[in-house]
Amino acid sequence: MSVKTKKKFEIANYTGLLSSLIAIVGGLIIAFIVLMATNPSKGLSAFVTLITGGFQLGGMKNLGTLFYFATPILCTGVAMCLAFQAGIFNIGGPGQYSVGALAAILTSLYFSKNLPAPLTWIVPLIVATFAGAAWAFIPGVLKAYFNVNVVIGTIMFNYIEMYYMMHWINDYCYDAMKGQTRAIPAQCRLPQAFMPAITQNKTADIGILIAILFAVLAWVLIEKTKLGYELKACGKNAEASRYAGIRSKRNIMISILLSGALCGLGGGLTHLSASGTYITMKEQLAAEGFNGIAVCCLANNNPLGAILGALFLAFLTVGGNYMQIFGFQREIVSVITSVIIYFAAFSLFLKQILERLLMKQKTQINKVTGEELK
Amino acid sequence: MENTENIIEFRHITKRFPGIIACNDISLDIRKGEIHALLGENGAGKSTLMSVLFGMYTPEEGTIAIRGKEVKITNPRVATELGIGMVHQHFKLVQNYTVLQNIILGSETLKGPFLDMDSCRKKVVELSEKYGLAIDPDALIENITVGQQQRCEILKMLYREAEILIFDEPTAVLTPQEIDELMEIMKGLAKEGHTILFISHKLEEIKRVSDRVTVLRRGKLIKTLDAASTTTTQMGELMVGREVSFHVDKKPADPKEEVLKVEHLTMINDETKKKVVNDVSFSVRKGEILAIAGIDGNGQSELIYGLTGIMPINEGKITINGVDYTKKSIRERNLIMSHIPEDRHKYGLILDYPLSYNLALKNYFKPDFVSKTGFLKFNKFDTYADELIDRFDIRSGQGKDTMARSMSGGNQQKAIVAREIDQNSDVLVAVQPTRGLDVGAIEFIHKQLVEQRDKGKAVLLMSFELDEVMDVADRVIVMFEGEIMGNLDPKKVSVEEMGLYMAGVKREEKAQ
Repeated sequence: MSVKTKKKFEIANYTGLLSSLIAIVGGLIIAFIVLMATNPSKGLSAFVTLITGGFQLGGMKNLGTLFYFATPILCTGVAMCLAFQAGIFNIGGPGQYSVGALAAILTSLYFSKNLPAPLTWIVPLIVATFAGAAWAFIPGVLKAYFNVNVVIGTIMFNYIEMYYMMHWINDYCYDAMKGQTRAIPAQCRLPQAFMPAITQNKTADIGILIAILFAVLAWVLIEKTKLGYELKACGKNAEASRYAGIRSKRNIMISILLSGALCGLGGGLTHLSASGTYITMKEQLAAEGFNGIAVCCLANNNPLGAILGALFLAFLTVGGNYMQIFGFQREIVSVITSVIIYFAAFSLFLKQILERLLMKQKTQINKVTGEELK
Repeated sequence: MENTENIIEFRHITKRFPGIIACNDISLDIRKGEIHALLGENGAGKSTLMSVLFGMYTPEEGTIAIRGKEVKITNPRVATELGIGMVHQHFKLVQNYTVLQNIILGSETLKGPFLDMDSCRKKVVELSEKYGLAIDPDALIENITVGQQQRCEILKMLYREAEILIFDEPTAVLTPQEIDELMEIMKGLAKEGHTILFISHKLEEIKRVSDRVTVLRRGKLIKTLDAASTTTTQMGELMVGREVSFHVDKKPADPKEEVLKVEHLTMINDETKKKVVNDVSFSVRKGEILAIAGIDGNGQSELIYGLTGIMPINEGKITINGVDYTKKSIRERNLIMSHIPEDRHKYGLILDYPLSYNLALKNYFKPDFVSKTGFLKFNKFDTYADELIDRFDIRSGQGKDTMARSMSGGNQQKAIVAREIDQNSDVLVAVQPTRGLDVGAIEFIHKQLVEQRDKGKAVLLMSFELDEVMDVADRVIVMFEGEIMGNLDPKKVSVEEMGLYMAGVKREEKAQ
């Protein structure tokens, strides 16, 4: 029996992975067509750069850059998995992410820089996490207790955050000379540990490791715990969950708060990074928030899959940046990555088709083996 | 006899689903103008065979010939063009459209770019007069009874000039009077030259209305019989493959102290402000089965939802074992009251969870199933599921790992019944526990209910099936428009008298 069980789970994982791969290949094909159409003479070399992540040009140093780009979208991606599993479509990633970023910057500038060693960066990270959760709190309450559509609730909060953040930056941490947030003190940045040695990149830090740790924790939570069982139950059938005595309002709050917290963590990790990142005064939602949705789709809502998904999208970003060498505009690079992300969103749909096909195949096999199954 | 021309010929139809052969090499001829019943247990393949005919499934093997010509029915649209119509078990109507709008939906008559409602209406009225399908074409679906909705479905088929009519368990939701009317309508349709295929597992009805009956068992065609010359007992035996008892064997009840007590329960619908449950009081004692009878939509469902905590109540008091449960949470109620819900897909199961997860739905938080640190004990999930699957004979393609969604309706219901009975609660609330089940499974569930009673549980049974109520219950309360019309002893009242209470014609003095 247990062998049979294993086999079934293998098939499930395999269709999930295969559908993600098909989505990626499909996206790459379109990307190639776009590149060739834009500039036929350089299209091929640019495409090669894209799919090799620019490693033949930048060398191993790119691994550090890859991790840098992967860290925030891994956090937001896992955040989306947690919310979607519970049936909560959290579109508030950009807001929760930016609030986390700002909270980390302000905490390190005004408070944690004078604390003893590891607390200098741990405290801002914790504050960032709570800030992200706090930003998800109100849409969560609106959804759980007043049945306000969560998409609308969270998306509105993205805009509130965007404008409100300008006010905060302006008043508390604006570097007028550079037109961006002030640099955070060196002691508040994430430790680099052994990361520069591994990645041969001087600015690499442990951010990606923290993000991966949280992805694993999220997976354990969803798959192995009572809370995960309840969250998924609410996501799959809210009425039946209520019938079973699961407190759905509480679960909505938990999932959206955890989701917001992870987004906030992503913002904190990025803006405490050793390479130094700043928030500029632009009326723009943080792309990291939305890209988390793509990561989550690529991963079929599985936090472990999100690790691969985030690394892959970061890989494309790194390669895409190198395409500028071949005279492609930044915007074309964005178009290419967007196309692939767009395809990623289809991976769930592809998964269903694959499963149906497999089922058909299986019945064919049964036919050959006759009445074995009875 | 008058007509032996075959209108449909199934030849060696085989349809497989993962782990199950739903139809196994079925060959069957349907004569023009006959009422042909398909009889079988759940998962016997009746619905699958009809779905193949209606183009919802494509069989792996076999062919179908309609009017002597081999056809490939790839989707319901093709079926409609061939003059095949189907009334599904769950009606497919737009709730806030009128009867007329629903009937013409998808095959509207146009005058230029505009709808030609007048000629549509004329055709619908003609049809309804011709076949005695009395219905108000301008009534909204949400305001009419289930029986009328069914007529609307029948008119929909006739409007599309269907010649072959498939009825999938048409009587499951009807009152005794409505069933009589439907039988007349079916006979009338057959007389006009329509061919009727009729899925059922109610033997009496089959005997009453059909010309021939085909018995299916586990995907195989067992026999086609002449309905008039076969007794219901013979049919039942062929269906299950063994002798079945139609009457529930039970000792007289020996009720003890009061367990569940409901006093002056009132529930008001938020939108209509109508009292859907109006000042209802009753009690269930240890060791008895109390049934709530009534026609669908008279407040029974709401009463149960209020009792189990799924809907809020406006007034009244619920006491279990002397403890006030009026304000307790659903989880607290679940610990003392099992609930087999009316709607198994909405409440009873999480369809995208595997069977083992679903069987643990009321237990997963108990120490056996979860460690103190909050981690689920999957070994326990598995052993528990295997135990219930074995004890309650729940059949599915991949055992405990089967997704609830891919199980047959009957086995889904068995899973719920297994889970709820195994809770071993003081109160067992069973709502339509045998809906859509076959004779064998019904017998099994009725036995379980009686066994629970004999173990000293208080059993509250809500059912629209009068036979079930009369057979199983020790005491019956009848509800009509939210009120209790009578508190009756099923051994002392006739079915006809019960019908009068259900229709609100008769009311017991000082009911309750």
